[in-house]
Amino acid sequence: MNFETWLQTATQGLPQNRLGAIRAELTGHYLDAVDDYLLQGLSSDNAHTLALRELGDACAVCNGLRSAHIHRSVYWRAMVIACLPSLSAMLGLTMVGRPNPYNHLSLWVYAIFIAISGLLTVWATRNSLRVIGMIAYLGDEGDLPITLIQWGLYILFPISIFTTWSNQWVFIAIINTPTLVYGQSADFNHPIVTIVSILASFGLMLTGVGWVMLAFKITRLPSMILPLLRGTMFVMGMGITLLSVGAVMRDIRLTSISTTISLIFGILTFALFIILFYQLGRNTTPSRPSYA
Amino acid sequence: MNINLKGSLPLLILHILQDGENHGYRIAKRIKEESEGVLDFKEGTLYPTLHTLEAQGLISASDHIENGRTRRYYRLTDAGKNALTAQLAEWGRFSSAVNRILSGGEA
Repeated sequence: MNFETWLQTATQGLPQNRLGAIRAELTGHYLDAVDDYLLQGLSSDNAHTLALRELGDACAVCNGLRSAHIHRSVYWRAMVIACLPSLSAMLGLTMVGRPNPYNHLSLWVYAIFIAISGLLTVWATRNSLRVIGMIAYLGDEGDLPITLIQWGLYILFPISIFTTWSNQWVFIAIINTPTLVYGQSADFNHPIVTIVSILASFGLMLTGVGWVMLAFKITRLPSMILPLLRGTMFVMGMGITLLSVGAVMRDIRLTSISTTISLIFGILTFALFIILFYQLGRNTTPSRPSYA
Repeated sequence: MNINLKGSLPLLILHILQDGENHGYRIAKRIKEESEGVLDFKEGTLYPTLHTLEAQGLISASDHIENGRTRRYYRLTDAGKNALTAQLAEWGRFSSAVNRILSGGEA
């Protein structure tokens, strides 16, 4: 490990307004130590090695600095935020088949519900992932999967509203299961249906691949639930990816099965997020990450 | 020999800052030198402890640029001076209790 890597790990997830000052302070300490060792006649390589060793374990420093700079309320807030996607998914399930395509009022109510719950899901997922990335020391490695998930959701969100409004056309309704019901009476050859299916598949593919990648990247978490979380993330990601394949193939059965898997494991994943944030919010001593 | 330094580190830092403002590297160096190498910071607890003391208002800090390097100088606040007095008294009670036990109740 070189000093840059050490510094990145030690300051991972600290508040942006203090990050520069903390990094400068640690860098100053390191360079002072190197200078001292050089004055004692050590070679440059040895001086850097010893100075780095003196700084201590980067994860321990990071945990300590987080305890000093991050208030526990961050984790409590993250826990509440993580409830939203699960709540949204469960409420969505209760709405299955409810809106009558010929009843404009119920369609309005349903569309507004989908819009609100979709927005909350995107917002809550993004914020939960940020906190997860921070406590798992993901750093730059987390950028790609988290960006994929975010962009996948950004693409799917307007589609979920569109599918609600145009249920006579829609073949596949990815986020909202009701379209699976209406989809069976849809005009499969309508160009809009094709375009929506392609866009939805693309959004799903991004999200699914992002979750699978994240399951592989998260190897350090200060919690015993790490293997479980990685498992649920992986299955959810695979479920969503299969859903995108189902959308392309226009296979109702595959779509139906993968939707169910994605929803169940999605709820489980966010339930584990909630437990993790709850644990960290209660923990009053700096936690040491476990290395898987 | 492994000694758990963490519990006594705030006291040592407050004690050193009693002599005037200082930055992290010099504080670490002084503790290491004055303890003849017995106490050092392999676990990387120095900066978390300094920042926690700052958040508690026991020390204050200001940044200075010296030779192109940023150094954060820490100094004792009035609350820090009171905390130091209290912690020194507590440490005195603690160490005499340990000494009494180790010397078989003769100390």
